[in-house]
Amino acid sequence: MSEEELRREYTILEKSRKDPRAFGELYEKYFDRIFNFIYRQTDDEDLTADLCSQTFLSALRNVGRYEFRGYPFSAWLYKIATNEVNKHYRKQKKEKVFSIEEVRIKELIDQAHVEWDEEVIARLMNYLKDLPTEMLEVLELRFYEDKDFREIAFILDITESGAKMRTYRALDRLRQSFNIRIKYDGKA
Amino acid sequence: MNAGNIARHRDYGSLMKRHRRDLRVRRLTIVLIYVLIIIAITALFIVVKYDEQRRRAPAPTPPDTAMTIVAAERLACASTWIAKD
Repeated sequence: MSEEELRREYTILEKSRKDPRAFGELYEKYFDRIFNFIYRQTDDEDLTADLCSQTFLSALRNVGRYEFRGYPFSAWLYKIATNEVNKHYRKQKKEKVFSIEEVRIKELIDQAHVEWDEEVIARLMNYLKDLPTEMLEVLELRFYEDKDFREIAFILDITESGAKMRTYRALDRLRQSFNIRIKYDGKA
Repeated sequence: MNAGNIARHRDYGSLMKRHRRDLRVRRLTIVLIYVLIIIAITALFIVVKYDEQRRRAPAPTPPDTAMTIVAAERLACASTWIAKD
């Protein structure tokens, strides 16, 4: 995100403190992304709509307390969304769900510049199903939401080195099981 | 999730309504709490004041005792007169 965009977002946030209607612009900008992010962790449209609404409501309620700390506003939204999803699963006393579509697996393989192979994709889906939740969270934010490690650390409330370590371990297992090399910093 | 499915959940108007309602409820709750605190402090003040007044006022003598004292005083007077006679 460019500095100008960051400044523009900050201006909107300042206006939102006095007039909540100004927050609508950020709502329109990030709604789809947050919705998809939550949907991948619930696999339930109505629940996702509810949690998404809670996320933006919480953001609107606390916009007065938001301080720019070097992270884009979206990182704060993702953090609230993550907390809302975690709160939901804690209340339901259930395990978190991750829904990964085949098209997303293909995106991951694209990053490794590897030929598509339906069998590999199927095996990869199974592999991802067995990954611990904490690794899936980091992979999702890194490769599907295109967040850098600093933002991931802020969103998941872990250290930056912790975020890198989880990504590295997940990709290392990928390399060992599938001979697919994806650099953990996402660059080819 | 396709864009069409997501779009039908996007409704900033209803989010704003919820937000305003939450704000109203929060303000009412704060006002209620303040009113309850004021009532509690006032009630405590009244109880303390009442207790203080009760301690300061002398205990009234019951009527039987008062009459016994008067009767004893008159008897004492009568004895004095008889003695003088």
